[in-house]
Amino acid sequence: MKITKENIEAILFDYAEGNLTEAERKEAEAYLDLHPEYREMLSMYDPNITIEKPLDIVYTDKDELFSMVTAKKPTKIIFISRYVKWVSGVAAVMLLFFAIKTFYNLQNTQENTPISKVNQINEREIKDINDLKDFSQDNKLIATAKNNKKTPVISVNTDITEMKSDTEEISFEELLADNDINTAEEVSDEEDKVLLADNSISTAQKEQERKTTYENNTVNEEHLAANNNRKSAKEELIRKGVNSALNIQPMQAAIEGIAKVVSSPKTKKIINLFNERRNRKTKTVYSEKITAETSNV
Amino acid sequence: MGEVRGFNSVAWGKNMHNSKQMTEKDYKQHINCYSDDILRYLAKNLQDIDDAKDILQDTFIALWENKNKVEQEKVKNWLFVTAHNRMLKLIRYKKIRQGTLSIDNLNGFDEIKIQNNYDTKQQLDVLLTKLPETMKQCLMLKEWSGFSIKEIAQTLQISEENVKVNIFRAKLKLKTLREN
Repeated sequence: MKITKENIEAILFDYAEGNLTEAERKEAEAYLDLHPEYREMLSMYDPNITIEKPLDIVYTDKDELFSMVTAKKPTKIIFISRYVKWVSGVAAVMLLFFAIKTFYNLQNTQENTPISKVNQINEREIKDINDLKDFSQDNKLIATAKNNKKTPVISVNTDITEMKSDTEEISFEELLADNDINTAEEVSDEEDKVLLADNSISTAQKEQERKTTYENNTVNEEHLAANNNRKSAKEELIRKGVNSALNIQPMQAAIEGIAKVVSSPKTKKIINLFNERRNRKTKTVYSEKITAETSNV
Repeated sequence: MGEVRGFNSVAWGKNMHNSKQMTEKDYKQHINCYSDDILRYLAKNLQDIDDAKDILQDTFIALWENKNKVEQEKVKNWLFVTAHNRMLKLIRYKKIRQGTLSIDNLNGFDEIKIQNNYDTKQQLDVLLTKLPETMKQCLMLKEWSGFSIKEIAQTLQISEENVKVNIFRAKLKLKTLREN
């Protein structure tokens, strides 16, 4: 072995402890002869000097340590339980979110669901009676109402049972009598009936007003007032029910729907009558009439 | 050497069965055999019995958790290595927190003078505190725990030559301090 200044102390330790072989010992002796300072160091070294073990320091909780450690559950369980709160919280939030979303979707679909039976029809508010669309066949009433905030709210009681209870089984004669409607044979084109229960303006007067407005292309204040009166009357009639507004196009849709639900042949007859009149009454017809009358005059 | 309350831990360690799986009985034996030595080693290094107990408990908990990985013959080394590393961690933490804390100057032991009425044990105990950390650890492991040079080197993660040099210098210094 090669003895140097870096490893001499380790060799001296082995020399003092008696861990060197004979050859190594001779080699160490030769080195010490050359370096007396290390021989002096070796002489100072006492291998018997020890530090006594502090026997007063004793671990007294051995049994507790053993029972605690061996009874201790695996850390994985603790790890999972630590996150149970977080997982349950997240799950609750997600559940709430889906519940709100489902409730919102249900509310939206309720407005557009088809009304299959009369008894299922509930009173609803329709913003504009003009938005009532056509009805499907098979006695199903499909009503959709658009949210038109410009027009005033008009409520239509589409519950036939309620209406029936209110009106006590409307018969065809009663229907005609209430609305002053004649049969198809009795009604003529010349009369030009716009049948409103409370309409104070006569048909002739109305036609005259139309004629003047068409010719003069001006809007009369009286005409406007009359128009407004008609509109308010319309709204009142719509509120009252079907019986009062048979010959107005927006109401006609409601009437048609209700009539279909009722599915009476007599009401069908009335509907046909109104359709005929609607188809015949166009602007061009009016203009032709007016020009014909003026030319005759 | 290595006897605790009449129990020959060295002999027991040699005669221990070679099964890899550590049973509760084996674990209890390890606690009885090594807990005192480890506590003394930690207490003399940390100068705090409570910290020493905490580290001791953590060490044995870790042993139970790794019972399938630690070989029966190497349990003693494993315990001391684990305890030593945790001790170093704590010392480093304390140094950072206190700023000026030095491993070699703990609680003003430098100011303690050896009184004439001290017995040899007390004198040596005080002297021990004056030794540098590595020297003290090498000496304690050799004198109190009966570790070989190789085992001390593994525990402290230094070379065997370094261990020999530290023990040599430690005993020289002890003798010098006592004579002075």
